Amino acid sequence: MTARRRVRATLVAWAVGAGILRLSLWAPEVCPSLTAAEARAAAVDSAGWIVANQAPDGEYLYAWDRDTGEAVDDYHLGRHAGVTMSLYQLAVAGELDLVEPADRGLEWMLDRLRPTVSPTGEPAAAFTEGRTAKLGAAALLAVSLAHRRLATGDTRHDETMVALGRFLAGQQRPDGSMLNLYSFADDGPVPDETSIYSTGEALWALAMIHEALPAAGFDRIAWTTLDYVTISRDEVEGYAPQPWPDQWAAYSLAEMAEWGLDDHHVDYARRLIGRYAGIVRFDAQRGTTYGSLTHGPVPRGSGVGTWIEGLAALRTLTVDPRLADLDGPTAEVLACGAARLAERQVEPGDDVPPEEAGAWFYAGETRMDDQQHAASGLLGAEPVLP
Amino acid sequence: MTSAILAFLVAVNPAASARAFTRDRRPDRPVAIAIGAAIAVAILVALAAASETLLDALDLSAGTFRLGAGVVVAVTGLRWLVLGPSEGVAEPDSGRALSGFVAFPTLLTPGAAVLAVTVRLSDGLGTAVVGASVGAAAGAAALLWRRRVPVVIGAALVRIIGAAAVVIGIGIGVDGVQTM
Repeated sequence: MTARRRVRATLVAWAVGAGILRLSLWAPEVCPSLTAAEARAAAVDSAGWIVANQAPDGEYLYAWDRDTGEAVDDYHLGRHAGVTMSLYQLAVAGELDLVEPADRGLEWMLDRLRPTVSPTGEPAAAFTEGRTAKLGAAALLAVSLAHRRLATGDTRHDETMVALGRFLAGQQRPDGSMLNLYSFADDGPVPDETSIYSTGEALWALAMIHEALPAAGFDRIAWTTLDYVTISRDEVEGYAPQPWPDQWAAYSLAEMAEWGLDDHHVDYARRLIGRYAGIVRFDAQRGTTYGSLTHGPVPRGSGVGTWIEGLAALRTLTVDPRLADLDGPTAEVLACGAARLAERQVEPGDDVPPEEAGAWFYAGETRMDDQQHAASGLLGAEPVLP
Repeated sequence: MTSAILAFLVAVNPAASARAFTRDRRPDRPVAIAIGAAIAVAILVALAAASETLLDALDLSAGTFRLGAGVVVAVTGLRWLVLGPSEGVAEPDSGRALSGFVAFPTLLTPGAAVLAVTVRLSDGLGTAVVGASVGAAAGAAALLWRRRVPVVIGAALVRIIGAAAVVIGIGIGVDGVQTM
């Protein structure tokens, strides 16, 4: 082969390679614009879907299939608690009209409180309808109560919050890991079963209870679980990719930041920011026609919402000098993700049914946690938006 | 700095540079080879200097580009590892053509090009310049001294460095996933 032919062949190979990269890994990242006011409006519309479809007894519409025009009945206590928590988050941000429907959702949960046996023998309680109680449902009920306290200043549920805290503490193992289920038949935790979500939910709940009621002393329990989550949880419980994108852990870190985080907590936060940034960037590459083909379908609203929630919580940590270098980049990627999330929302209108207005649909279906996580994420993104 | 230099070295693969030409009896032309290396370095430095403009034009963030850069380095390394060096070409007669061929495609490999951009973004222009210069100088030196290395050893070195490129490329790609 002559040198000239080799140069030509190499140029062709470079062009083909660059083209393949442009269609795949290097597809452009498309970030629409979104203002803080638009994000707030989208979050409120999302809450509007939750409220418009809430039953008088406080139960929410679980899911809606717009192709069949029918509700999907597969109710989930943890998601009920999460949706209520999200309404209270908006109330804390000033949307006080949402306290009343959130309170109805709260009463629905309080009707399902059941006493449990705590290791200390003090009164404890879990949120359940069955013979077992889930850690995550009780945790998000406690977080709802803590947000309600912040929004209203009402302290009437403080004892319940502490009882829930004792239940959560009773599920903790010595290494900080949290058992997912409590058995009423055995009056104790079900051994050996953990949950990918519940550990972080319980950690956040313990941190928020401590913030509200420091005398209860749940900070010690929270520290042990935070160490477990940040040092060994993903490895021990076999989660991948690591760090597992856990927005509940992100919320927990944000809550506990003022207590004084150690270097290994900060290192975990840095890695978690990187994880979320990578996910949001990948999603942004779906913004072109060919990017949407090479990067697969957009995940459901709840999935994208959790990324934005996680990033929003972690961004508050960048006031720490150890993470200050990530402040601008985190804000940038958070704004991009929030804008992409908002543009997929069904805008309310006169001809839009209440089961669709303000919702995020995935494969023809919307579920209550789509609205929950999207609303919480958009609310969290507000500070970085113009 | 050290990791960046190592990355440029495996991306250029001096052992592959040494196999760019079929063996003949003509005298060495170090000046033409040096000029070719200088051209390659100049292009790599220009790419590094223009990295932010380039990423803006492509609508890519540094992390996304780095992920792709890692894949490019790994894939070119895999090619060397599996297929060995490319078949050598007849050495151009004119010094100008020789310099041009040394610059591209001998020293200006796909891996070196993407590294120039991503190293500039992660480690700064100085590191990118040093890394590109060391990589190109090593490739040029290997080309100049190609007759001193037995063919079998040279071919084995191409594959060994290719394997290193695979490892380093994967590392760069993984880092890219978490780069802001």
